[in-house]
Amino acid sequence: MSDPIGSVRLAERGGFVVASLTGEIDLSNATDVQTAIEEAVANTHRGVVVDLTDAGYLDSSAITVLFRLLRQTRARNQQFRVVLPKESPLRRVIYLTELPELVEVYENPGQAVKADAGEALSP
Amino acid sequence: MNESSHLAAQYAVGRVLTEAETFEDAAPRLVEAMLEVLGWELGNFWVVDDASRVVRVTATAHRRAEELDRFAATSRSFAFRPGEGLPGRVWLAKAPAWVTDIASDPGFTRRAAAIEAGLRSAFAFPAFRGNTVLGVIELFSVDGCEPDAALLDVMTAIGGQVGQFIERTRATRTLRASEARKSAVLEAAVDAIITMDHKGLVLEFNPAAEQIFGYSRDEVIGQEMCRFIIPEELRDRHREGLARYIETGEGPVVGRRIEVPAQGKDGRQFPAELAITRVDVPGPPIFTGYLRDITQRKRAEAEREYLLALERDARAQLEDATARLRALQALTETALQHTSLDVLAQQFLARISELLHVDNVALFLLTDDHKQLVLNASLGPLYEGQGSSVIVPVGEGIAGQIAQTGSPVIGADIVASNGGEVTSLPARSVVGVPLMAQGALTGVLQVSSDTSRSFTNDDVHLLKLAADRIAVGIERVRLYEREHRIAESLQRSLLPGRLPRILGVTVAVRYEPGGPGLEVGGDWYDVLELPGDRLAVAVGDVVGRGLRAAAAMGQLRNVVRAYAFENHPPHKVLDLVNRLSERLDRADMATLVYLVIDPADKMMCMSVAGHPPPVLVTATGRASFLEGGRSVPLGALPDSVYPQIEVPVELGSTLLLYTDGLVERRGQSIDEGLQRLQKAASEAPRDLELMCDYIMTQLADDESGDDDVALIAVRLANVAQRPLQLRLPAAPESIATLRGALRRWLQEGEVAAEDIFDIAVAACEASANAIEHAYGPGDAHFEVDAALEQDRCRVVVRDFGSWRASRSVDRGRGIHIMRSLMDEVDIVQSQTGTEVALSRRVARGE
Repeated sequence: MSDPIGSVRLAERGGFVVASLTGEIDLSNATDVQTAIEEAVANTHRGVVVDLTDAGYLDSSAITVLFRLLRQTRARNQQFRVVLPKESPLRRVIYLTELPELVEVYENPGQAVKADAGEALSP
Repeated sequence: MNESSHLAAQYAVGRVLTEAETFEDAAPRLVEAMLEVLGWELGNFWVVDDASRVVRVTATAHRRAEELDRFAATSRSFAFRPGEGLPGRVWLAKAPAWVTDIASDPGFTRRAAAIEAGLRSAFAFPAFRGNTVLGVIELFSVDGCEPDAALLDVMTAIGGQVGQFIERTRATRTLRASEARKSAVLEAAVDAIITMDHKGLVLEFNPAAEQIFGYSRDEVIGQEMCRFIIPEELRDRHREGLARYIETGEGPVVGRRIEVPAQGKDGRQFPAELAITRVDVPGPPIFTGYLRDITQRKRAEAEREYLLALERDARAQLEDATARLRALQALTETALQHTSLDVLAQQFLARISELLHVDNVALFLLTDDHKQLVLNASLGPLYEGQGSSVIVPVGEGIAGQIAQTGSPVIGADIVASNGGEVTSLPARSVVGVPLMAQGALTGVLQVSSDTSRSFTNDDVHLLKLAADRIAVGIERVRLYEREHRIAESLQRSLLPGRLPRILGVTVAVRYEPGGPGLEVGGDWYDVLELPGDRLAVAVGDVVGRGLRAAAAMGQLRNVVRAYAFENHPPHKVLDLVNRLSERLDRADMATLVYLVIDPADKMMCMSVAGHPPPVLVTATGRASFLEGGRSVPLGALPDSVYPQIEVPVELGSTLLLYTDGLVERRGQSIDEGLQRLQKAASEAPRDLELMCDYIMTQLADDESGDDDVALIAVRLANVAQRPLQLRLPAAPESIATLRGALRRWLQEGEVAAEDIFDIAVAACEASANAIEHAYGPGDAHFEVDAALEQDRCRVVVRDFGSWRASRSVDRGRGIHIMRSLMDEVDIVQSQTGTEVALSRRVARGE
């Protein structure tokens, strides 16, 4: 079995589940990533932060996961935030989906978990 | 004591020591002798036990008396440490000691016993050698005796003698003990132990030697050893070797373990292992040989060698078989890896060539009608370069025979049918097997060698195994390719066949399906004619691959069409589609660009759901992305709001819509792809089809991977083209210039190609005339005016010279051509010059 092309690391921080995606997330592993994050989130969490700092590639399946998580957290009245550094190669892809119109995008996880809802720290 | 007693004592001791052989013998006699000379009653000979560092009584002598017995016994029960008791004191002090009155000596350990025995005084002196006390002699008297210096001296001398004696007898005892041990070894040894002296005579011959060689000890003792145990032919060598060794101290045999032939009494020779050591004794050396009959061992070794050889052979065979098996396995791996029949076949053939060591390998496949075998792939000179032109009818030649009978064939002579000609291609040796897949014959695998090589049944068997594997591989690939073709046609069927045409808008499309994977993608495009002479263009991408995505794509396309035909504006179409997706519980997201172009208004209205932005290329070739009207993908959220933008589009500008396969590469950010697209769009040729080709080659290279690539170019064409006005020198070169300009102008006017050609020819003929007319002053130029209407082109060629009647037949022909190609040709001559008016209906907007 070859090394996985991408993975998700889960942690709790400031009441959020911080899911750090690393490597490549595509059709082959997107569902697994989604399941992993879903299972980690409890109703007591403030919300989910998806950290894309170390993600190198996201295809449409991965984008779908982001939107799915957005729906779910919304339905539970939880926050959904994205960490996407300025120099990330994924920036264009994410912006093409217009996701930043709906969720706050931050520079790093620290900011993401500390910010109050409504404060977007990255344009 | 007087001097004579002293002498007597010394003499007596001397005698004892001389006569006695062992210490055990001498000790009591010594004591006795001294008692006699001195007239004392009891004496103990104490000996130092080095190991335990005590002195113990080793011998006693006394006048017969019970009480003396008792005292002797008591003494024997003691073991004194240095300094303890009288003997210990003497030992420690290394000097004699005198106890005048035992009774009044509290330090005397055995005082009570001594008193009881009636012993009054004691005298002890050490037996010593050098500085070491080896023993203590203790003498007791019933009378009280005073120390006698003279006696002390004598005893000291005696002590020295006795010490010497003890040492000598100790050495002897050690020697005797080791001798005894050696005897025991000799007696018990399994090996023959033979000792000989420097002359080669037997000194010792142990029982094992007797048994091994068959001689008794008596027979050989003192005789020349080699006569008895060494084969005759080797005896001289032995003697020489021994002599040399004695002389030089060197030899190849001493101190080593060697194998030698030995010979017993019965003359039987047997292999023996021999080790000879040299024993250093005073005088010439003696030699001990340890010899073992190794017949059994040798036999066992030989057996083992034989078994090993057998095993080696077996292993070699196994390895050979394993290697072949592995090569076969490699064939299977090849089958699994390759998805292209050509590559697969070539790999197989190469492996078979290695496996069987043949020059030529050929793979024939059966045609669908089962009547012929067509060469599919070959390796080697036999069919080189002939490819599928090599056809073998079933039943003919080796391959045909195999195809007919379904059985392997070994033989020579190959018949090939080459375009109807039957030729015989001789090969020295051939073997072929049928290719079977699922019980049916699908082809023939044939190998042949130019050199005479006889193929064995083993080879046939091997070839069959290889053929089995190949057949499976081929079937799999064929199946795969078939399925892929089906998938591809399915995908294409979901795309629009004929693109609608409306005047004023030209559309060009490029579509490249993704990689060789079986899975269809979720990309599609659509071009729809809407009421009011408007055009709707949609490009979408359903997330995922496979049939599910294709089905979703199909549904989505129809839904978009339905809402499109209801004439909703783009944002509304997206909104409706999104809501419907929610209601239908579609789990799939999709991106979509939906735009409507109105050539009359020269306006474009667009809404983009998460899709990469379309490119607008101006009439002058400037390319930029249209970033407005963007929202999230369809199916992302139930209540998404979809904005739209309205963009004016000038005539001649082009909109490019595409799927992400065009701009996305793994390992690159999408920005790079977008930049490349922008650059390619701005550099592309003007002509719409050429522009599409250019963009595709620049972006959709081999690294596109599995994604489908679709590119749709929409151009707002010039309905009313600006008239062309030219003023050209009246010279032959101008004809080419006119031709080019006219052609370009007509192309810009989207005139059909045949029309362009005809018009160009006609106009050039008219120009040729004009050039011919001009040879006077003021005739240096001619003019061309061209105008384009909806469906008509008019061209006027005006010159300022005087018309001349046809100078040549050619010019007459020229007019004829003009009249043939154009609908109307009017030639008006006047003082100022000639005007030729050409008119023709044209088709536009193709």
